[in-house]
Amino acid sequence: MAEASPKFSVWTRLFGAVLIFCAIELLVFHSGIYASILEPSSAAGSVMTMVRNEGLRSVTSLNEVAAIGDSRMGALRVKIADQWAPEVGYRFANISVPGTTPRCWYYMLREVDPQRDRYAAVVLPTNEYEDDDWENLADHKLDIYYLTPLLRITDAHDFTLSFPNWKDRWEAFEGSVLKGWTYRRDFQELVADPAKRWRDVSWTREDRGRMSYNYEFPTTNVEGLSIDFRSGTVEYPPGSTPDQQRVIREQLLHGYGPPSGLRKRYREEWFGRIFDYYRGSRTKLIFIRMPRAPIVRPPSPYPQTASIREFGARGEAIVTDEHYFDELERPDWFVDPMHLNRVGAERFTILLTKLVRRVLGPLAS
Amino acid sequence: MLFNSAQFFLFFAVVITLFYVSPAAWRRILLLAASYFFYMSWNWKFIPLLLTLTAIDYTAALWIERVKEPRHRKALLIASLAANLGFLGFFKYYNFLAENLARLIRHNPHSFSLDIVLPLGISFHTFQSMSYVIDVYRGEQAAISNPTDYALFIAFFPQLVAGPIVRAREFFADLYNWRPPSSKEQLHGALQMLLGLVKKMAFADQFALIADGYFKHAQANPGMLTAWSGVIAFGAQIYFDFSGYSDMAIGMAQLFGFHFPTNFRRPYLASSITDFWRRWHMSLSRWLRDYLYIPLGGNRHGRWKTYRNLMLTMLLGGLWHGASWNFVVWGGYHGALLSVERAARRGKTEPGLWTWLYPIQAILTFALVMVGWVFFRARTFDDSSYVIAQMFTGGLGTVLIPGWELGLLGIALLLAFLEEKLDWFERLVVAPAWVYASAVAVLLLCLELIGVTDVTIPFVYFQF
Repeated sequence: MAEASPKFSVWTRLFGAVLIFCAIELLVFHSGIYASILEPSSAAGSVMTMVRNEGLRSVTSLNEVAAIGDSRMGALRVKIADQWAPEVGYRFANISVPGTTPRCWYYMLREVDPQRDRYAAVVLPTNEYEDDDWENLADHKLDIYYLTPLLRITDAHDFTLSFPNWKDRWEAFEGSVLKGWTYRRDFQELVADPAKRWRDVSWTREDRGRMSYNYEFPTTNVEGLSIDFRSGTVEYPPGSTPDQQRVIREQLLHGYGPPSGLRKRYREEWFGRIFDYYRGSRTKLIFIRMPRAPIVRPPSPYPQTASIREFGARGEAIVTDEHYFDELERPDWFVDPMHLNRVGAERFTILLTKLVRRVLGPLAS
Repeated sequence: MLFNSAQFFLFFAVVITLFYVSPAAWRRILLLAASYFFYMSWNWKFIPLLLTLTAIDYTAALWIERVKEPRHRKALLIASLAANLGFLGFFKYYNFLAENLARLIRHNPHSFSLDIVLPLGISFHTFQSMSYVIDVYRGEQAAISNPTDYALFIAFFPQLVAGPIVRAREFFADLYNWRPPSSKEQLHGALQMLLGLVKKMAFADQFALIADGYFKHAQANPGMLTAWSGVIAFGAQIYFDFSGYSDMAIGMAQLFGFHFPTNFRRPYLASSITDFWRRWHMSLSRWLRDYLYIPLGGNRHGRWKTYRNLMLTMLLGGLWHGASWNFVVWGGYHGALLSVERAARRGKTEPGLWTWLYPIQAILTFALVMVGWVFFRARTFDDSSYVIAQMFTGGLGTVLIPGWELGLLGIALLLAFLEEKLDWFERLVVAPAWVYASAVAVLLLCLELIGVTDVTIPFVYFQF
């Protein structure tokens, strides 16, 4: 007897399977359900923690200033800034996440300020106003992991093509469309120990950023560090470990190459998106040059473009005096070659609040 | 081009599309060209070897069929087998023999070694080729006159590199009575292929990370629980890896209208070692039985000769896997276990699967198989001895398999029981469309969430 043919063909069933798969993907990973239980200390989890805490922070007036950035912007001590708020007139929020880049900042700002009316100003940090090309941020793959919870399907095209090579583009595509794929390690850790995850997530929710608000920076410093840039010899701080010495060499001794235009293009792309996002809103964008290092490298021998200054000249953003924080560039105020220590951070906070007050002026309303 | 790579799926999609849009007369040539392309994507330099072996056995079989004189027929058979075993012996066993010879005459072990790269799938396609010539010699298979058809039998890409080892009469029955796969066969093939991919990427590769970590520095990881969990991780890896590969090969072949034999039937549910070998790498077991064990006399000449035949078959089966004493010991170990079982049973029939004794028998069989895997996986004989010693006399140690992967094993075990009892896979194929689609969606989610994609782990049996 002839075998009865199944009602739907294999193609119809496979198509149905893909639809079911997409529905689960949308329901679990694109709706924010899974993002709410990400491991808080992971890249994606740290961004989500920041977004959640900032969302929970009540904003009652028009004098909010957000400082976005990477770990170096962690030096903005909101607790200290709050003490100065009555005098300065502006209230600061630190929405920086260690390891993030301007590409991340665009999506982070879009998430925390969806109506573009939350902040009077957003402070954007840079290491140099010149377009120093020593690191190509366009291929910073970690951005995919930071941004997966924030990406929408409509971001897939732009976000994917913002990576220069096809392997990273494929991962970026997964991060914006197949989020489960990017979350798989997190998912496996969740399944491995759901109780631990529950504790971590609950603790982070209850904490609501209070720990970072009250966090006391380390008091250690890199006193004793000296560098002869001509010969490339370094005298390391006493007691520094080989690992710390390696970081010092990597951060402070890397050479200069002829400009490739990569950093300029990157900055125009991602700061340009932030400008476009806030265009027509009341939010001002303020560029600052962060305290660069305990010992600053000599300037590049190559002629360099400075897109940040061009942004200022075009009126896209307020570009502050690049030497404003130079006084903080001292070995006794840095905990390592990149980050300020407790004294440096307190000083940086006070200087930044005053700077913002100066460039924004008294609150209009 | 690994079966679990994006390139392979692109290749497969192109080939199957071209296959079904081509005129019927071109399809075999297309499959053969695709198979050679697939083989060359690994190492194009071995294509002359594959062509040479194909030509030798194709010609030998035709001659054997035409020649009437038994002596000449036998000489042709021997010549064909010698060519196959000669190539296999040279590529696979030369260095092993040379090193042992050098040791024997107290030379540097590498004095006579050559820099030989093992051609992909040589163990599989030579066995398949030899079985064809033997079948023609025995009069069980007509010699194939069309060289393209014969070449396709040897090189058909779904099973070229790691089986299943297909009998000529099965393959040519499908080829010469080819009909497009029915809707049910398409559903079956697609689901089996996807299930195989999930077995490989979501299960085998997860356990591979643990097993590789353990066996890489076995002697630095003491402890009974450590050793058992490391070995069980490898047991899980090799099962999911090889049965996953086989499922993919069988599923793919089915989508092309070919029916390959089942290669695995839930081997870790076996109630005895004999039962295990009826469930593990079934196409190899069948080959060894039909072309080695039975010609040696099988069980027809008394107890002791049966034990001898079992030992010889398993020793050679072990050696087939690789040129190392570890594989010989592994084969010998299984041969000894089969002989002991046979002696203990003394002609009594095997108990059924669902008796009250079954759990004890299954656990004991599983443990014995795991002990055997130590020889299969360990890098050296010293490592094997160390791991075995730790399994039985070591301190407590720690369990290497994380909780959630133990959960994966639990799920796999439950599914295996349900398959044994309820045949859920076959039911799924004929289930309502929404059930089938949901099952495929679950498999896709498994790939997405637990598939290992950060590292590429080759199929274990590709090395053989």
